[in-house]
Amino acid sequence: MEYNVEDLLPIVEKLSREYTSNESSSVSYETARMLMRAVLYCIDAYKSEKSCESVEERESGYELFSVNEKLNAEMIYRRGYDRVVAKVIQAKELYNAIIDQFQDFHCRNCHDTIIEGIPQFFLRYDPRFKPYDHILTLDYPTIKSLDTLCGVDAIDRYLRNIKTEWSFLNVFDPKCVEALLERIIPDYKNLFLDNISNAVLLTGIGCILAGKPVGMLELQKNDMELIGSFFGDASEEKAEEKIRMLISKLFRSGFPENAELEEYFLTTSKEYAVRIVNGIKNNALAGVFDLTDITIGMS
Amino acid sequence: MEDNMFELLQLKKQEKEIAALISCNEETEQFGLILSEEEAKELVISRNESLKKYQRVEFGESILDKIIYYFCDSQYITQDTYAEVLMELQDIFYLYKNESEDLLTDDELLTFMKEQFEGVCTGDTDYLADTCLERFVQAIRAGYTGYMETGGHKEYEKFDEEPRWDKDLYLQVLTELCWR
Repeated sequence: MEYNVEDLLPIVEKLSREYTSNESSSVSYETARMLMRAVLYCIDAYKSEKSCESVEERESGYELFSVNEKLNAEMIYRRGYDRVVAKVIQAKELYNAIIDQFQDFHCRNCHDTIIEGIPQFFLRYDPRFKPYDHILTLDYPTIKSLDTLCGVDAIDRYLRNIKTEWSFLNVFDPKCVEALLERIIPDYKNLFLDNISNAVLLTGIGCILAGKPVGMLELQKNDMELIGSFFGDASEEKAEEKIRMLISKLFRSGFPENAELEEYFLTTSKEYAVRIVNGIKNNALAGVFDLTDITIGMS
Repeated sequence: MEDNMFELLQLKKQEKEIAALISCNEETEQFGLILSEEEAKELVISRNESLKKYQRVEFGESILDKIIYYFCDSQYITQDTYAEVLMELQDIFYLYKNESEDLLTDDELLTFMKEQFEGVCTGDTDYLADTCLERFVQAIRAGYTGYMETGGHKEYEKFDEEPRWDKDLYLQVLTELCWR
């Protein structure tokens, strides 16, 4: 599947003719770069699909394509382009499945990004000339980052993250989640810009340690002693281990059929460990958890 | 690296383009315009320089053939000035492709250029570039889209700021002549 840059120029040339509707014999470097990037994006889409297939083929013992099949750069591009279009359709189906039971907890950032923004992606995405441009800034953050992903890959990963997070959030009573967010920022509807499941999970862990029902998402000042004693003077590494254990326990008992969820949320343990250990060290654990009997700024 | 790649692409096509330019002589001969091989080479070199200067890349056929086709019947081009004018015209063409933000198609731009070159510019390429095209693309950048319907024909009248024909003066002179 090796190709030279020279092999890609005829594809860029064809694409440039399409781009100008055959009405311009030349394009700016900027446009040519855009088209070259579009070609490379589609080729990468084909390559990544092929590498996934190879793993499956090795596992299943047969190969989908003949070993001797030789594809030239243009064929690779075309197959990659088809793959990009298929990904958009898949992402659309995923979005429809998510939006069916979607609850934004009246958080504007979340609403604007997922309910208002994502449909715009499906309306405006250009897989032919700008497949790498996912248009949206995706302001509502997910726990797992999108790394360097772009185009439909970024949207697909983002929607998968959202689906995972909402599988967790949907088991809570929306009123309890909203009350928690309101404790974090009274005007959370307009001003809460963080990840909702992050705040919910941290409070949930606190509830487990305090022996309170996780679904209520309520912690009081006197619960801090129990939480503090669980971690003691543990280092960040030790605290992280303990949190990992708690997260695993929570998801194995609450979502036994969904192992993905546990794996996804385990990534938060390091951040929680740092926050909790610092809270204990500075005698400010109440500031880490959002308590029902304490207001921000008071101790 | 990519920019060098686009330049290489132009260089690779050079020989074919020279041959294509020479073959245009068959058409232009009837207007007394012939390009020598040396002139054709110079034109292609100058085209590559223009493309580099204006950061553009040309795929497929060169625009030079089209410029020749559009301008070969001009009353202001003679054999002595033919190659030189073509060089100027192609440079102006790429400049205003950029200036119009690629909103003008090749044909719309060339139609406009030819009409003004033969009309108000009376063969003056500086006036064509710095006045006529400047005003036209300024309007396009500001959102003017009328050229799409006209294909670039009779467009400059809408943007011309100089009085070209003073009807009152004409009538006055005519009256004086008739009543003398």
